[in-house]
Amino acid sequence: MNKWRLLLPLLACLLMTGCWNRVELNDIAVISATGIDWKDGNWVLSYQVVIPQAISSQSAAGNSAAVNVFSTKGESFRSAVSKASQETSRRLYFSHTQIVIIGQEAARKGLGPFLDTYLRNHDSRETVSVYLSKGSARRMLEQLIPLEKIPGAAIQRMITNEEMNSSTFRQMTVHQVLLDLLGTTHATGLPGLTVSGANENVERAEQLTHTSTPSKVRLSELALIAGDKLVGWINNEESQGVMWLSNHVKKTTIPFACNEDGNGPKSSSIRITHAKTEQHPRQSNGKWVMQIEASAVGTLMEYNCEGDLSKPKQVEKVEKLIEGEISSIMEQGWKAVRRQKADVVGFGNTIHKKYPKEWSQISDSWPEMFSDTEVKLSVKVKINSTGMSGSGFKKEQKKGGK
Amino acid sequence: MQQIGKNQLSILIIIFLIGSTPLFELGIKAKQDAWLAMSAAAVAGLLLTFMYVRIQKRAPEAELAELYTMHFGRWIGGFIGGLHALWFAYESMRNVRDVGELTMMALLTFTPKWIVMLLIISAAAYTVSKGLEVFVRVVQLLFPIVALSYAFLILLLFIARLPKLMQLLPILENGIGPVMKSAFPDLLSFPFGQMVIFFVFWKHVSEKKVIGRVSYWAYIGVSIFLILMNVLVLCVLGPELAALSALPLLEVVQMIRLANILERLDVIVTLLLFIGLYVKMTALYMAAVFTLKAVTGIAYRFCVLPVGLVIYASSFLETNNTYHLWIGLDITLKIVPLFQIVLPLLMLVVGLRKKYKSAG
Amino acid sequence: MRQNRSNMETKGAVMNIQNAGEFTPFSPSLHANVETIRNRFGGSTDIVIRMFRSDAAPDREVAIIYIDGIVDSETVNESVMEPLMSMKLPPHAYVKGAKLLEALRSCVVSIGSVQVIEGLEQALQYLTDGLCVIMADGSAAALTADVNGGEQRSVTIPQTQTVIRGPQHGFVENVRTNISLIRRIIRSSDLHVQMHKIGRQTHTNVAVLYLHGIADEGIVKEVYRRLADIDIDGVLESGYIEEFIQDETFTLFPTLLNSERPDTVAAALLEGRVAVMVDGSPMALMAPTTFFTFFQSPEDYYQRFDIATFVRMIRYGAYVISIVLPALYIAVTTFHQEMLPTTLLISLSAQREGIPFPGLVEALLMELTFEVLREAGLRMPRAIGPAISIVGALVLGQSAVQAGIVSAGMVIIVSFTAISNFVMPEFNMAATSRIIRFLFMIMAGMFGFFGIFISVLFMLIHLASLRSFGVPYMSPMAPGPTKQGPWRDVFIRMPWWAIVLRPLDLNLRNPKRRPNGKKPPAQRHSDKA
Repeated sequence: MNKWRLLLPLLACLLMTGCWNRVELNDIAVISATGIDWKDGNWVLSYQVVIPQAISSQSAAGNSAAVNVFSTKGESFRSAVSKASQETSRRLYFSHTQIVIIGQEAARKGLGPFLDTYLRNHDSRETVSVYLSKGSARRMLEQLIPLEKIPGAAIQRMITNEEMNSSTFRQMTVHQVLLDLLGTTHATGLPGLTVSGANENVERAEQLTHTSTPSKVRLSELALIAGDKLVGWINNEESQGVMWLSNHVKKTTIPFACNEDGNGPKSSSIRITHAKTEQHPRQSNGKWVMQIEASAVGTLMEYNCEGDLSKPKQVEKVEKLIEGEISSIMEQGWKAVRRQKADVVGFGNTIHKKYPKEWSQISDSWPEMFSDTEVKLSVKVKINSTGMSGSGFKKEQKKGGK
Repeated sequence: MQQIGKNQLSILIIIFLIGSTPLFELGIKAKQDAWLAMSAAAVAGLLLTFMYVRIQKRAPEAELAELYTMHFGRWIGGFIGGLHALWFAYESMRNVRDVGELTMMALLTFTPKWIVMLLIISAAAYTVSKGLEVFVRVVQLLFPIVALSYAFLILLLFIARLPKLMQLLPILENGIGPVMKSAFPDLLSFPFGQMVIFFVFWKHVSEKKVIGRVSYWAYIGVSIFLILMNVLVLCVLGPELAALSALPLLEVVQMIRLANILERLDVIVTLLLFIGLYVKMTALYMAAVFTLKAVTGIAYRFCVLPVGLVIYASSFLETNNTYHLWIGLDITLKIVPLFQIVLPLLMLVVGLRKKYKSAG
Repeated sequence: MRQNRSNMETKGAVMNIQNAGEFTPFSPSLHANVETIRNRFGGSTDIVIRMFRSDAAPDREVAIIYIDGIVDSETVNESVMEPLMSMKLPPHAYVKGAKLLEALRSCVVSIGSVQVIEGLEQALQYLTDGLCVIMADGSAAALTADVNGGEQRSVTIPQTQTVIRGPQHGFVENVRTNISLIRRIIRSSDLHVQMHKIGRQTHTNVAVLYLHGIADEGIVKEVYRRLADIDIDGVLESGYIEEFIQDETFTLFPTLLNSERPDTVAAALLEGRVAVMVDGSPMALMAPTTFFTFFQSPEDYYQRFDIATFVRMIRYGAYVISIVLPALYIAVTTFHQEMLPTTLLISLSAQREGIPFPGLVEALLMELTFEVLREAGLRMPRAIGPAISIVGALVLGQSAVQAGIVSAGMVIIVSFTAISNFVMPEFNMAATSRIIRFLFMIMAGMFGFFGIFISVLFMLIHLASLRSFGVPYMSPMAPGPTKQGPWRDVFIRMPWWAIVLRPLDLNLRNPKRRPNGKKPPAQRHSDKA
């Protein structure tokens, strides 16, 4: 009986104290994407808030946009966030944020404060993917994207699609960025976003009722970050080279020309289904030599050159052509990152792992040494299948014409 | 007298040692060699366990306080026993506080700590009042939950292909020095040296003959598991991020992202850690009560509430988390070896001399 | 032989208990005795007293007394009345005094169970038990003849615990019939049955059944001890007994299994449990009982083992769901929204737009409504049952959502919880989750997952501290079994040839059900036509 008498005040306490952390679903504003800009000495944070009624199948969806975008300003991130309560009726809810877009200016200022907030706060997911935009981040958030209701989620899916199917860019989560920037080389590459097409925004839901939209959000160019600041951009081809160098290619399509010197129209292409790159560093007279060994397996997708593909000799020849193409892609990529002195390909990391002693001596001067590194490429391509037809269509036609 | 079986003993050792250990990336001062530091400490801990079991074998029916009085005489032994009871209570308090901090950080940011800690300490007090048998049964009930959850998490981590063994390289970058420095005394005293608590529980094992064997195997098994978890966290986060993060395991689990459904599993991890903390807290609480009873002669059931109140009250003494961790990792670690190493060692030596005397 | 002796002994014991209060010897005068009995019953009209003189002993009057309706009147007429009336006693038996009764017992009354009694209270007791009392003028003793009978429900299909495959008969309200049902299954002299009378006014027959040599002697003794301690005016159902003999009063969890199925009771007896049956109740109690017993349906053992295992897993899952699902829903939607997939979160929050109550209140409201509906469904006249289900399910559920009072998600959660609750084969275990669920919901509403964690922890500590007749409630999980056997019938049901040991991890005298290593050999059939 004594026990119960003791429990009673405890229960009373529990009931009186109420519910501290309780937040009802209709008291939160779910944010699908955040944008970060730097303007006049202030951080400008933009939020893409999801409007559930517009998405849910229950209520009549109608033609209203499913998201609402607004911005707040502040000298620090969280102060900007807290100012949001002055203009929204609901608490901002960040846990479901899918993407973060950083404006170019903000990136030049530095990613440090942004990353720190992510580490410190529990409600920020580190699986959020990060993008850089050439213009203001807010503009990116305002664009509607066909097929998808929530633009933030759409961009997130866009990069996954890209990563899986052409590997020019890869998804960079906050976690990945942290790993890179805290890691050996303090450098990373982030995919860029631009609005292409006419200089008109797709902001109204009616615009999506047409069969084409005047402009489109697309992934383009890779931003190089060294330290925590943006140091430069490299274009899509170079970005692909970086992916090859750093072993991030999963599946991609490579066009190649018929001539061995690589000139001429690249009218044939191969679908790479497996790719792997290994980096083998070694030292020779004070300089580092990086032996890159790439290997790829693929299926021929289109073939508009001469030669009978039913002969193994010819297939080997084609493999050689593709190998040349891949090494020229890597070459381009290497040149680009060397120019920017940003080790986003992870050479420093490999050297650190293989030669820890030597690394401790050179780690401070690595950015200089990095651009002096000599890269030797060797590529192995294996064509798995030449598709369902043996020789080319044209050749068959010629045969028939005889 | 309450009795526990040998399987129950091994499960108690396993869950007790797991406790909150996976929560922290221990030995991270040695960077990517943290797991080596962990292994070194585990081996040293095994030696300690050997020593403990040896002392226990001299008087299988005695518990810690009785062993002290046996070796050091009634007054000195009683005094040391009292100190040790206080020490158990203090360690228990640290776990209560850990629950409070963990909840604040990971689950309920706005809920006051006092109520969270009150709830968990009342669960512990309820268990202690029911006695050792019930406590061990609870641990047995929790064991499958813990085992399956960890297995599930590890499986998911591998399916998501998060661990990268490369993160462990280069091994022994700065030689063996930093590894040893971070292993001793820190890692030895937490978690491995905490085996000292089983001086209180071994007495209650029904099969006295096997306590050594069971304890060693359980200890070895759980050490391997802890080292594995350490390696896993390192492999996912990398040494830099692991050192930066306050709760690395939570960070690791947040990375899991599968099929759009299995996201945010960190809540599961938090609950797992709660289980570990609860078991540790209750075991220490119970050890404090047992020891106090043996020293003062006050009946068990009268000790439960006062000790619980002391633990609860003292958990408010530290003002914030930084202070809590600082005391835990700096101050505490300097005193711990006294209880975990010096006193048992003294007992061992004194016992040897006594034995010779009686023989001669 | 031993069987009989022990039965005799206990009958004596029962009598001692009964007669401990008072003992009034019969008077030698028949009329005085009859008057006393009549007065003791307050002149009740259902007391039948038939007095007559027979040819064999014309100078001595004989009386037959019984209570109408609880005796089998045909038996009374044919086996007692008729032989007495037309009795022809051999001359040597025609003696005075008590010898007459002895002669009647040995030569005249053609009933199996006839006894000589000497006290008035005994006579009253046997009368109320449905026996008939025969008295003769001039002897200070009486005869009782067991003519028990009268109207009673016949053995039918069990109402509450139904199976698809398995025996289709259930207990009735008569304890003798019930014991006979068990006897027909376990045809062994080791099945010991002992009767107790409990209840100052009702004098209810309470039978204790166990298998001698299999059940733990200590537990059998403990059952007797606890039964002997009961002092109450009446016992109307086995629930009375259950509350008196369970180990812990303040617990939601049943520590005694009950069943109205003879096969379940027989199985429990074979497992070394002790069964208690109460006259007037078709529910038998079984002890010791562990937590996991409540998840075993008799049908598990009649079906194929793999299907039974699957179904059993579902039952465990359903029980957990019926306790924690609403609490989880509350915790996730009001505390841990980050755990939901984004699309689900958005669709849930769209549903919640315009709902006036907080999640906790909404859930409590719906759960309470459901409990009311359920109770209404149980108590109302059978005929209007369908009406309630229509009102409950369609009108309340559908229109509450349409009116925007509760969200559709909540209705799904509450309905699924309710259905999960019905999966449990034992009603009293299913009932625990109904109350625990509310505690969980309140804790979840205050502390989210932490609240659920604390609630689960308290529940586990409580479960671990329970015992049923000394057996830890959570065995064989905590404490774990000392032998490997008991595991084979807890979460999974192994094939019968693999279940060698009895499930209770006690020091049973005979722990094995069957010898080891008797796996049936694989049958080889030739394909030749």
